[in-house]
Amino acid sequence: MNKKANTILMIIFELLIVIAVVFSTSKVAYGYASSDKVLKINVAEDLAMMTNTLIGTHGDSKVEYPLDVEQFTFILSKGSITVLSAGDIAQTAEVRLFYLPKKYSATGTIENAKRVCLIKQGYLIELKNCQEVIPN
Amino acid sequence: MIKLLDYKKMNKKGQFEAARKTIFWLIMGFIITMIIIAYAILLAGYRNKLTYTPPDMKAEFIALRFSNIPECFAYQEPLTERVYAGSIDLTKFNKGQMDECYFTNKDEGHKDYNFGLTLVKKDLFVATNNYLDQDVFVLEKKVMVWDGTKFEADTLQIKVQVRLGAPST
Repeated sequence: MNKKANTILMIIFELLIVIAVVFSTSKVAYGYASSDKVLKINVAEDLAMMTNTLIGTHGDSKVEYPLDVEQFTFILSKGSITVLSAGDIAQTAEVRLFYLPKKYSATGTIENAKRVCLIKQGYLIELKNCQEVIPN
Repeated sequence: MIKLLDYKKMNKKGQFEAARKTIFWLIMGFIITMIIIAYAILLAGYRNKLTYTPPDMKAEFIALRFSNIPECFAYQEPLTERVYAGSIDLTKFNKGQMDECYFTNKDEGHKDYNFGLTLVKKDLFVATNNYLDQDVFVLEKKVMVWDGTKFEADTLQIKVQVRLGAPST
């Protein structure tokens, strides 16, 4: 092969490498930017801390989570809060543990609720759709 | 078929050039792979930064219960059932009450927050079930201690053991 042809081939090869690198880095960045993983983690952490705060305050109370969380499903149990996105399996859900005093219990499952509320009544902490609890 | 490298037809200079470019692309391939991996790690690190919650903040929220609810150590007047927030009832300040208040998983509880509480003036200590004296930081709260007849000011020192081993969440 002559030198000119070789040079052209090398240029094409280098261009292909650059395009591949730009494509793969853009794909990774787009994946991170468009995923709701960050929001899911923060919501799970916040709800666990809110539960602990409700436990730490005597008496009944209601608190609303101040974000639109319609895309998530929530499961509150005696020892954990689980946040799932559509299509999530157990391994991809975000779970945060907490430890309630022995007399206390926690319950609640919510799907597709825009506003989520935690209600403490006596020794029970419930997770509910805010529209049922605090109407607009 | 295109013969990209035909060493037999090349002179020494051509062979050197071909070998040089082969080595160059070998190294460049490795470097580009490393750059892509580093980029992915950088993004993962950025995500961790976005989702980071300070451990002392989490500990504060958990520790709220110790001096604010009667199911833990807060004093509750028996007649009126009024709860004195920010108080410690000395009759409750024991291991049994601590287990009623905050009890971690027997097998994996060491991976979660555990606490060692000290009433400084009274020199009394009580700890959660998986507290192993590996505290990372200490919280302090001013409390009123009920000794059966009167309230006395004291300091509640809360030693926080964040986790031992891999986190459970």
